Amino acid sequence: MKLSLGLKIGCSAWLAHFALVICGAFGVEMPESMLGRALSYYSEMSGAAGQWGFFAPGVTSQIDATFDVVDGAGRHLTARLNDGANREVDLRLSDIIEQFLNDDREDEDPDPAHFTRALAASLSAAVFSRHKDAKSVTIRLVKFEPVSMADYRSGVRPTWQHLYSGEFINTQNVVGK
Amino acid sequence: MNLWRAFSNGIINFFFRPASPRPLAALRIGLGSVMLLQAWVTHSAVWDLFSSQGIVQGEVATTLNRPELPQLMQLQAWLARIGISEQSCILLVGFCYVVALVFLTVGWRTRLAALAAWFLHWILMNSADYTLYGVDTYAHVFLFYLMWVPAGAAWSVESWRKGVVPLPTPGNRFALRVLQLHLAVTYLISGYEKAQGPQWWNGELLWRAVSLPIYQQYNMSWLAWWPTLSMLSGWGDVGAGTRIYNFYLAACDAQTLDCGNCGTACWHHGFLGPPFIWLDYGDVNGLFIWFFS
Repeated sequence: MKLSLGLKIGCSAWLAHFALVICGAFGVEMPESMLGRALSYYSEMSGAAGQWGFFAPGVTSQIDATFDVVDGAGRHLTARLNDGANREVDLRLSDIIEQFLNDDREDEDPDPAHFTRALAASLSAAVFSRHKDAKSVTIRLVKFEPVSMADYRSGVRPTWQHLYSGEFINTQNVVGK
Repeated sequence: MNLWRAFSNGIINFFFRPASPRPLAALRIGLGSVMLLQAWVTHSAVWDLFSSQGIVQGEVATTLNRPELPQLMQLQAWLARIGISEQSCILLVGFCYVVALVFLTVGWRTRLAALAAWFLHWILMNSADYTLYGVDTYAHVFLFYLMWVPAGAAWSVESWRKGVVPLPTPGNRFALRVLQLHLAVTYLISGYEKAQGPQWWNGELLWRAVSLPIYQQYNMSWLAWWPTLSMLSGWGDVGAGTRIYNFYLAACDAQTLDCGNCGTACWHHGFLGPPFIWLDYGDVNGLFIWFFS
């Protein structure tokens, strides 16, 4: 079989691309050179840098956030970012909340407490934008740690454990009242 | 010498035996349709996810995203110079993305549509990097390939207007093999990484997954009294994921690679899929490729 020039060029390009796919899959880091950075950028651009260890090495815990809102009249209500109406959106919003438990970033972040507070403030700001007359929003983070099958059989049940809480006040609404 | 010739003929046969463009067209239509569905389902959250006043704001967004990659924020700053607001910028990108997906799905200016869809999808991914999961990663990979493969040669407006009959070509086969091998590698690596975790071997993985409220669609507490079932399921997923058998069979007969993809997809969806993932583009596309090969 005689291959066209286009197909030969395509085949050569694919071999180089496939080598990057293998490197990306095994988490091989490119060298800190101009070529290394270019290859790294290309890998991101083409999806060759993808990591494929879904649910590997295992399933960890789940984190959830609820917000206690105090409105202008002093009434208390509980709000959530993900309301359960749209599963696809809920999964993505849960991914944002999961950032509180991002171990990869904690290894690099010199001040994880600062990040936690900044993320909590950001999420609370979103709740303020949904409740325009809110005076304060208290974010409560809870963590769900599953129990083993053996523990479950012996009667132990998983519970939500308190992880973090922080209160944010809308000074404009407080002063205004 | 004969052995070498047989080997090289086998390789050429595997990669270049003429194939119909229809599997590629099926992938194009399937991927485009699923991406359009995803765009429709998530459109209500577009401000929450992408606006500077959304859920992740200011320095947190900067920390979580990767500034070296193109993002909406950079495009907004650029468009702001000519008086276009952030809201208009997000609407414009979203509109262009959907139009590109429609063009891709129907096969009109297919390569250009794939280029636009891939680039805009990449921008959207980079702008909310912390909300991504496997669906987005697979979609990005396949959109990239659709720019290069002859996905518009069949079942497309282009081919219908030209009135050409889609003929089997070596290029179609090569494109199919590229897609299938990428998919097979992802499953191989996935299986390898899963095999490193004790939860996949002792049955705790499936149990823990169905225990988490986020994945809980049915009451699966009965599984605690059936640990062997949970364990076998974990073993099966690692085995299907590693797909060593798949590569072996592929070496014997090229068609079986497609069956292998399908087998893994069925395993995931039959045993682990429902409680885990809403949509899995990799499996969906694997099925498309297999079905039309």
